[in-house]
Amino acid sequence: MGERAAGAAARSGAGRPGIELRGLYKSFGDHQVLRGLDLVVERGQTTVIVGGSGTGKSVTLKHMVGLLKPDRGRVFVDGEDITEYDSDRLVPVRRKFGYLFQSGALIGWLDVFDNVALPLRELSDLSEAEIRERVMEKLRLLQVHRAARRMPPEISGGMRKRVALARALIWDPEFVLFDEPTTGLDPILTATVDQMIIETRERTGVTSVVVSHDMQSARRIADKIIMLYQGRAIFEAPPAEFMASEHPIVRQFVRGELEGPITAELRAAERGLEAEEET
Amino acid sequence: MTLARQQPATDRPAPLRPRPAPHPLAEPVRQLGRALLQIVRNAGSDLLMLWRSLLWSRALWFKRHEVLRQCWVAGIGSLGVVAFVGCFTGMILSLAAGIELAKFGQQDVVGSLVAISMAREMGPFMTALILTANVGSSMAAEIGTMKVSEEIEALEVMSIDIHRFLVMPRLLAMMAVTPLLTVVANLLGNLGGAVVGYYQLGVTFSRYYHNAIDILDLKAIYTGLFKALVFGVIIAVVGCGKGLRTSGGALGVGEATRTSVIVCFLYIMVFGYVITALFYGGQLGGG
Ligand SMILES: Nc1ncnc2c1ncn2[C@@H]1O[C@H](COP(=O)(O)OP(=O)(O)O)[C@@H](O)[C@H]1O
Ligand SMILES: [Mg+2]
Repeated sequence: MGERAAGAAARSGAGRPGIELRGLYKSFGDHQVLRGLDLVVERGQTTVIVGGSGTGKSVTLKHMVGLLKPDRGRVFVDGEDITEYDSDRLVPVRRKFGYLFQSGALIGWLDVFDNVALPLRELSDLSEAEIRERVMEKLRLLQVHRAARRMPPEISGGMRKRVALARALIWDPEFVLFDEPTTGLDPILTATVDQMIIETRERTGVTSVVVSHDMQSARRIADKIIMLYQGRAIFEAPPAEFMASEHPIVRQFVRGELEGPITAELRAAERGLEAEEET
Repeated sequence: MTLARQQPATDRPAPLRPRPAPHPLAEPVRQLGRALLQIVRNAGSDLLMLWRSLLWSRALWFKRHEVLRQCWVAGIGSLGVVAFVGCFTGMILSLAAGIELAKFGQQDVVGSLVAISMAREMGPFMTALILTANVGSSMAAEIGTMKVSEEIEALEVMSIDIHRFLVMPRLLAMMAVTPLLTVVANLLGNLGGAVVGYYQLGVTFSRYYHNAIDILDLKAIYTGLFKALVFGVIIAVVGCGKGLRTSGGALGVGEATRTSVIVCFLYIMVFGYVITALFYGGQLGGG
């Protein structure tokens, strides 16, 4: 057990920067989402990104695997600058990643087993028996093996997330990106998913980036919490320090207070919109 | 030359001059231009998608189950409607033409008339319209839903080529199913035409049959089947293309579905005409 953990730690090269975002700018039309985002994800750690809805957390994750290209700035994975890579050159980079999408993103016409087997079937020469073994191993790991022949619409949201995670883990990735893995789950399932993230890291030394706006679970799983606000990473700290921070924006977010800089900003923006409408 | 002279001016701040009021037609013209540009851009990306997916047809054996599934969904799902519509098309053609021909005592010719117009025009055309509504729209809806629920992005992160995984099976299935269903429509069209000819116009079945067989040459048949093949490609490409360009949630999916049907209809009209003109235009001898 200890040997295994030590091996995992060595493989993960803990402490080395795994993913680096440098000065990212991204806008959709005239909607500026990222404005000079700097962010480092260290290897072997679990980094949690928090921030209000629509602040660009998902957009940030998508930049890490080249699903979105920044208007300005650079993206490094393992020290490799992938900013300009096209999808062919991204293939080996993406092979290092597992990506758990916010909605699960399971293929609707494939059952649970076939969804998890999909990457192996499409991209490997493994025999059907080998595929079966690997898929069932992952399904068992996430305790959804009994639903192997169910269709995605027939299973609960929590199960869908776990199946999606099984698919994300099928290549034993070095990095796993979780987009709101616990949103919409009840407290017990949330704790289960959190436990799953922690265990995955302990067992495989995987580097995780978790997007969340659930401070409870952020505190449980994070080595480092980063706060995203108005397109920038405005604050980062280990969980305990983060929760106790006196930074006004972080403080309001952590405590979920109605009065503070975040809501003041929103009201100002609303007033701006109203003024625009009047002219 | 003019470009060179204008270049330095951009460095200096432009002098403040009251802007002239825009021409009243400026906005409509701009919108028209933008719409035309969008059509060209979409057609370009659709053509690229078609090319990439055709290249992937080398993976046909690997994806055979998926191709067969798509054939089954498209073919069986539309067979009844195609048969029904094909039959009535033949009946209508037979009746409409027969009434006029009977005035000259020429009603025997309906056999030739129905056979040739079903084979060359109406068979592929009616089949394509039904498949557009039945299969093309659901392709746009299905792939559009995948797009807005991040499934397309998930495939991309897994490095699964959507041309191979999604488009190729649908494309090949439509290329197989559309000509097959066209044959069904043609057979039933002629049956309908013959029945109407017998009961309404007094044309015996054998006379109808001989007239039909006499006029049907190989060219009429392969023109019709070629047309069906092209229509099949159009339906798959427009359906998949619209689906993949979907944005804006459930509303966007509805929009993609609706426009895929309209765009398909337009392409089918235009290509139907062009193919007939290519194969038969020379025979008219006119300008
Ligand atoms: N593909 C896209 N096209 C246009 N706008 C987008 C796109 N993706 C995200 N956005 C916009 O960017 C903003 C941030 O989105 P997102 O990263 O999903 O927020 P969140 O932090 O809640 O995950 C939102 O306002 C969203 O509307
Ligand atoms: Mg999000």
